[in-house]
Amino acid sequence: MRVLVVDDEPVVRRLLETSLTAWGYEVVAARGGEEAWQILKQDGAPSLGILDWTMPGLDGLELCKRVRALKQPVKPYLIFVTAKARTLDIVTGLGAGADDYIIKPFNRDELRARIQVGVRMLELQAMLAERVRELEEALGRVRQLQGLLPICSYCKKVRDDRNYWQQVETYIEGHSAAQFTHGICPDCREKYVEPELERLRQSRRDDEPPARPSRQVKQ
Amino acid sequence: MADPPVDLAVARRWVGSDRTLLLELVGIFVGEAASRIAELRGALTSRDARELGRLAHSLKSSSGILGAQDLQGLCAALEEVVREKRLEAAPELLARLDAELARVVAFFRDSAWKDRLDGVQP
Repeated sequence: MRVLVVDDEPVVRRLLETSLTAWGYEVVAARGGEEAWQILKQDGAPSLGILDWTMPGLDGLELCKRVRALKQPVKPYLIFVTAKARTLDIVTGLGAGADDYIIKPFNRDELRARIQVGVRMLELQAMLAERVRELEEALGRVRQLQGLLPICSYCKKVRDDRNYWQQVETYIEGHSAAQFTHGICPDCREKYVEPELERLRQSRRDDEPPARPSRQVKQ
Repeated sequence: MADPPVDLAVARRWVGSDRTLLLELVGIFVGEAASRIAELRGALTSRDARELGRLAHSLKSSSGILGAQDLQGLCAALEEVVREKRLEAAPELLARLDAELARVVAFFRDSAWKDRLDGVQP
């Protein structure tokens, strides 16, 4: 996982960078808020950010607000690591959209554990986003069968979106996961099949040679 | 003799057994010391309180990591003075900060500290 580290103080930045690399993260380092903003606003930006608050130019608080105003589907997980330790600072930092807040001097084990919490949150978020995508796709398929469908009153053909008249079963097969297996209902059996069978029997009788007794009469 | 300006146990706590990292951090710190003081003086001369506070805050972080606790305390005091808008107290504090930073840099320039490192328990 890629992690962005933003701190204007080179000693702190290097310490964070080395620690995170040792813990298996791919680190992108920025020297200030403006540089971090250029990185975070791009597509494919690191999914976790460790932000200092007090920096020249664009400070961590403003950076956090800007990132939160972006419209990406999956938001980066942001952790403030700052010496600003008053309760009001913590409330302001979290209020600006940070997910966590660590006070300097920080404990390295605590930082590592809190980053792991962030990773868990991001994984959960990604899993949920994937589920939502799947559900939306399924819902999209169901929606295709909704709405007003023009149907012929006589032959029951249906007019599709491209203005072609189709058999109902062809239309439904094309717009859903349903498939048809053909059969005959009792009403139609009586109405269509029985008369047809009767007609066939009749024509067979007509084709038969004249009954033997009449021939015998002729002879 | 005055106490050493750096508590190596604090520094060891930050870097664990990574001696190379500590040497690198010290290198960065020493290399930037002169420009730090110049920046602090510049901010005070132009009475840029916001910048003065930020620079003090920044130096506080790095001196804390390297175990330069007196220097860290002076940075915190300077930051406090700026926050309370008592800039008249800043020149004296900055002079003390300058002297303390010089002590820290001298400590790290003398390679004897590296030999003591292994005996220090974090």
